[in-house]
Amino acid sequence: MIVRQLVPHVGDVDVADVLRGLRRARRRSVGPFDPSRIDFSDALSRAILHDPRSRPFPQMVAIGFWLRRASIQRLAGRFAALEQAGAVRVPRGLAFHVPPTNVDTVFLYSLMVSFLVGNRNVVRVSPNVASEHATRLCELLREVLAEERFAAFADELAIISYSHEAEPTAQISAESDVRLLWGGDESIDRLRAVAVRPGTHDLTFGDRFSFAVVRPDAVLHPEHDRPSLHTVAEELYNDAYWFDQLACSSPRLLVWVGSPEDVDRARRRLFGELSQVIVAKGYGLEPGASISKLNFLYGALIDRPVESVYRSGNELAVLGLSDLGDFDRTHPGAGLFFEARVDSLADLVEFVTRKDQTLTAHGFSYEELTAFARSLQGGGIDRIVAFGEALSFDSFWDGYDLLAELTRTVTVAQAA
Amino acid sequence: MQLDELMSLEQYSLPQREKQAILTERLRQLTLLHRDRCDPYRRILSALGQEPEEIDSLPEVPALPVGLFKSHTLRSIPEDQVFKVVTSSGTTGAAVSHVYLDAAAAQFQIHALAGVMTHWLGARRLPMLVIDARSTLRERNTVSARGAGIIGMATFGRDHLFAVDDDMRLDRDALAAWLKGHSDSPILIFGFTFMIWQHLVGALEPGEVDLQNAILIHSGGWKKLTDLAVAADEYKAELARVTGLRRVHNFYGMAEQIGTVFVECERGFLHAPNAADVVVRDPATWEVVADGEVGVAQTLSALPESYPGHSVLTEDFARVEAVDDCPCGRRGKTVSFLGRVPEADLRGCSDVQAREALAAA
Repeated sequence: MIVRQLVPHVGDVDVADVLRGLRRARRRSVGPFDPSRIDFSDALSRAILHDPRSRPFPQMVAIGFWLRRASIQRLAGRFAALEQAGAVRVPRGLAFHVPPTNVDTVFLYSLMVSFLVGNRNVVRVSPNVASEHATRLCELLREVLAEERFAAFADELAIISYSHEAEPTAQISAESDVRLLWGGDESIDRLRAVAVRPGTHDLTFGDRFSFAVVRPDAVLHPEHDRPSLHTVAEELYNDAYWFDQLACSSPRLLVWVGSPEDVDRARRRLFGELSQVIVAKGYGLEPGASISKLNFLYGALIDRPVESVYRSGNELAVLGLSDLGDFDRTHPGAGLFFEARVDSLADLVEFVTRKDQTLTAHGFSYEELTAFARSLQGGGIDRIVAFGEALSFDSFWDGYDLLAELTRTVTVAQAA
Repeated sequence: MQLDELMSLEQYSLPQREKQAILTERLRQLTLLHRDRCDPYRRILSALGQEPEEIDSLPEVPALPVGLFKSHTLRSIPEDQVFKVVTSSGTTGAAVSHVYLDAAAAQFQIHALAGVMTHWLGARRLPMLVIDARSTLRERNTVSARGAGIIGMATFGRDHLFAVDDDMRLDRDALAAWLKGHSDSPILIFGFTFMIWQHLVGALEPGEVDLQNAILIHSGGWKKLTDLAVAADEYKAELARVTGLRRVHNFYGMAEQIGTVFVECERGFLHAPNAADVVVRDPATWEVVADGEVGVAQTLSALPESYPGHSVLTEDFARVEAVDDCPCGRRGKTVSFLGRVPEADLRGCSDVQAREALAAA
């Protein structure tokens, strides 16, 4: 079937030809974290960071930084540690990426981790949502791939665009060794129903929920070596608002851990400061988004145990809940926080489900958080990070170690 | 002033100041009534700290976003007194509003609609042509907005002809015969804006029928016509060219506020009836904008007693064109409705997004 190709060249292309090219590339392919792969990542990083059009967009700057040499070399170091004596890690082969429609930089993280460990890659992007950032990133990828020294990589990376036709997905899936399926639970279910070879490894990144925990003391009396209230609010802004609070790792619920009196003072200060940050950053909603959010908010007032409402413009609404029993994790995005209070982290053990991905924490020690993670007994949460780090991409994602999952172990016996 | 007094006044005769004072008191009472009788409504007012006792002007009447009627059951009458449930029209698969009426409310709406329509059509019932298929009515218990609109309007005409057959094609022979039978009288034509465009303007040859003697009432929104890049004046010009029809009245109404429709006058502006008003708000702040500025319409109706739909934040853009000084001479606010607020395009990776992406596919 004919689809639109975006990388390495723009044009219409037969999926079968794309797959044929990727098959051929295997013979010439260099190994995981080969210096030339790191060079490519660094060159792409420079292209993104030097582009004046990236500068106003923190998510573009973030991916530019993630791709730079120093960062990738740390990743290479971790990869080397995975290769224990007697075990060799090799690429799985052909990786098929189906990134989420609307978090517009995820496709490149998914693609580049897989590329760095030596896989050949085909990425399907949706033509329905023409994202400015995704379009730009594809353009930069084309530019870097056009450099003579990276010519071989042009055969290892293909980004194509098609709608919900079943045929290309089936064609590519049939030849894939690993599939990275991102998006809503329904789309993932549909993709998983597509036939693959017995050995194909599926990594699924479904719809997740994330929340924050804060100790009021850390907001009310920041110690001299801890971030100020303003910094905390700014980090909360970054975590929540970069992707309109719809990124899976953006906090949508904020749980205070402390006494009612402290919480009462701290919440007013934190959300007051946050509303100022929102104004300073110039974040605004389209009328349609404001209206959907109002619909959701009014519905929540009917359905949920809301005991307080704080609103600042259309961009911030905080609904204080009297308890977290039967908490419904549906959420509209666009700057709405549920809020609750508990006496201690231990009170949240019952609350956490497998749907919960990122816990953004402020005011807790490493030991407390580790103990909390253990107390969950696998019940949920894949990562616990500081404020400001919710969206930072990591080679551990949704509980997967991507370096391990995207490679295969070949054990080699000591010479007899 | 009681509601029946308000209804008995000559339509469009109230100066805005007077009208506002009357409506404010009535809507304050309705807000209190619904707070007493509708638990979800009470929860909303209480969470938002709204004090209906203190309402002193129309913009202070709390408005429910219209989408809430789609997602939640909002009733101020016991379930066993529900006489009719009106649903909004919606695209296939999309949620629709449910509006709960008891017998009195249903009667009241008919009465109110009559109070508006007789102003434009006269008291005498005219032979009536419906530009739709009879099968549009064939639904029980729940009534779609399109069906409800036809049924509601049908009472203002006689000798009805449904000019479109069940395969959604104009029945030219039936139409010609019917017109011949009513050539001595003015006629009423009713239909949805797009149906008129498709089945009258689109299906007929210029001069094939003569509708110079007709009054057209149409509604249903411009969305499909905007997609076809047909503007209001072109719509009217084409109607006149193809059929000779010149008396054309668009109206704006919604399932949540049946009975208080805004009808277009000879000058092309829509008028708020005695029992309704509109407030236009800036969607960035929700403050009321100055007359002449575009914003999102909040519509207020003195009718709804069986459900808390007396003050609704619509999803439509509007602009107040004049207050008490429309060149047509009618009093009160004249307004232009300027189409649906476009759906938001947020980022993210949730199922909501996936569904939207699928819907777009």
